[in-house]
Amino acid sequence: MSIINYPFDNGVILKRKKALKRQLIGQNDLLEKRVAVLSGSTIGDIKDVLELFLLNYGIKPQFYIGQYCRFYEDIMFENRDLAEFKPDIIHIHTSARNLSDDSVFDKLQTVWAKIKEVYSCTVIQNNFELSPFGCESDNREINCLNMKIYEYASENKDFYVNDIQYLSAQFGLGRWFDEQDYFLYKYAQSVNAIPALCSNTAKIIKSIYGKNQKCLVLDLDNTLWGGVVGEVGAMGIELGMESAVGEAYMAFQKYVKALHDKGIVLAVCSKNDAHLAKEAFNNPNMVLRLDDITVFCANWDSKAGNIAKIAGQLNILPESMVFIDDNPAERELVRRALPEVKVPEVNNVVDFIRHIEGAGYFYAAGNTGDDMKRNEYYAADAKRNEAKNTFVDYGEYLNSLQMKSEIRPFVSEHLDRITQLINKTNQFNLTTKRYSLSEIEKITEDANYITLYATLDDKFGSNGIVSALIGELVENDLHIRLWVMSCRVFKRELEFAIFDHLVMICMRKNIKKLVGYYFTTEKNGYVANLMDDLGFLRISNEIWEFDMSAEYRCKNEYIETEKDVGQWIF
Amino acid sequence: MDILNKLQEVFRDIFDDEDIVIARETSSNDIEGWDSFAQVNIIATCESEFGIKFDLSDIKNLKNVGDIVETIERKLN
Repeated sequence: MSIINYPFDNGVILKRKKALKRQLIGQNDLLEKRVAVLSGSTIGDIKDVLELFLLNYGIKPQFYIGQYCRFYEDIMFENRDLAEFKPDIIHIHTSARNLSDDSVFDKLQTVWAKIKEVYSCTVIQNNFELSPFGCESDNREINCLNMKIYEYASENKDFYVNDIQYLSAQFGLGRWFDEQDYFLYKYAQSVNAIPALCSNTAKIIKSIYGKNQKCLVLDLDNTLWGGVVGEVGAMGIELGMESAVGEAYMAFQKYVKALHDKGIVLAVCSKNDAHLAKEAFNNPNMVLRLDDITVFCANWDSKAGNIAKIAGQLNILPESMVFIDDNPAERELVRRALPEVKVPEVNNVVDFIRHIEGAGYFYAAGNTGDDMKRNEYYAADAKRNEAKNTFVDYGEYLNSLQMKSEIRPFVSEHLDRITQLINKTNQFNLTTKRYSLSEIEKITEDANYITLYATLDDKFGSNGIVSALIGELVENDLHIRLWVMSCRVFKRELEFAIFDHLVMICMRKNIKKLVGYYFTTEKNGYVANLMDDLGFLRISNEIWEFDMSAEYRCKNEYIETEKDVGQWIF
Repeated sequence: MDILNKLQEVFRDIFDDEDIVIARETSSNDIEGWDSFAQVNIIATCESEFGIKFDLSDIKNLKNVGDIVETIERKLN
């Protein structure tokens, strides 16, 4: 495991910074982002170390570094360099060292408003650490100030708080502040705290760009409860308030249940007889219920094989999974066979939560309602799969689903979900272009763009918004800059319904041809033939064209949509 | 001599160059990339590797490797 993964050693990261960069920069499929770091104190090494953590999350940053201690001036006065840089993110790196005047909040608020007006990009704002010297009146003010920052965050989209108040407390305030490092180099924090600081900032950024894990795979015996259920039976497992060990397992189950409620998909992967393992869920002290577990895999096969199957069943990539098992041998086997799966090195139930939170696998920087519903979607999907098995003909199955789709241009109330979908979809994604919320807002209002989102409902439930498409008008052609679809609705022919709509709109707008792009990545093989299937002709390696002058026959057979698109395109 | 050897390992890590050989006379003019940020890193790493803490006045007076070694020696005694 790389030395940069949690739990990393701050000193080692500082020391091995160059070697780490060399190792991380060679990866494929890095997502490029432009990050402006504005200064309330020295940035220096912070840039290099933040870069390492972002690279480790698959994000390749390009940096703009503000002038020393001039975050206010950098934003408030005309700044051609920053404008040309076109930041995706502006990170304001302030700290308790910037609290000299009383009007800090007003000053910050002016800066945020100006950023919205001029740059309309994502903002990451540090909150403030408690006073280095524990002065009570200072601390009271700092707490008030932090409260105001959080209030602003809850009322403003695309604004995230980097919680260095918590981080510094966890690090130890006495070590976090180093007067010498401040007076010598004007580092607001101790040099040794830089990796911890950067790791936190990187967690926010990767969460914004959809790099979080989605699924927690759990072993059972000595992971969810104490003892081996196959030996001691459902009532003999150690779980509950009667013993310290039982209480610890119960606390872990409560934590897992809370993750489930936040939308993390749960799976079980255990070497057990399935019926015995399931019986354990009858123990009255179980916090988790069987129906909280989306995929239950208890058998005697290899765990790596089972985890691969779980990934297949959920239609997610192994890199989206976290595997918790108390057995080091099992963990090592999974790591070797499936290096993308996150396998924290933890043996003991009392350490599980700290590792999962510390690594930030499921760290949610701002939640969309869709995350919360994810488990409902997967539960409905399990029912669909059962139904599928009763049909011989796939078309009959699709017909039986009674699918309905709403296909419409982007509207403001859905932009959060659309942005999230765009940034986390890897498989059905033709161009892997990523957009910030502000960019999507602009595109939505720009007459040179045709946008479509699609929902999909069927008799088993709703899937919410599952696809988004962005086309740009260039003279008489429409260039498809982006098309993504959630893996929840693969093989439902929704792409045909969306394309029918797109063609209808283009006809009314007298568009001559559609230009499509397919940029191959390691993950988007699913749509390698999409352009061909839709009737595009290949012009060059990555460019495809669809001639609008030919007669068009609708491709969608199974999904009910609003036939009259006229009402909202003119 | 032990301190110099250990310091050499620190330099090799920080500058990501296994061939660096340092002597007491080595200064920032001799090693590419030994700028003020690298200097901060060298000091922070020495502090954790040797379990010492440099003083404000020590840091101001570090001109070459020999100065660093002497400061570490003094702190360790």
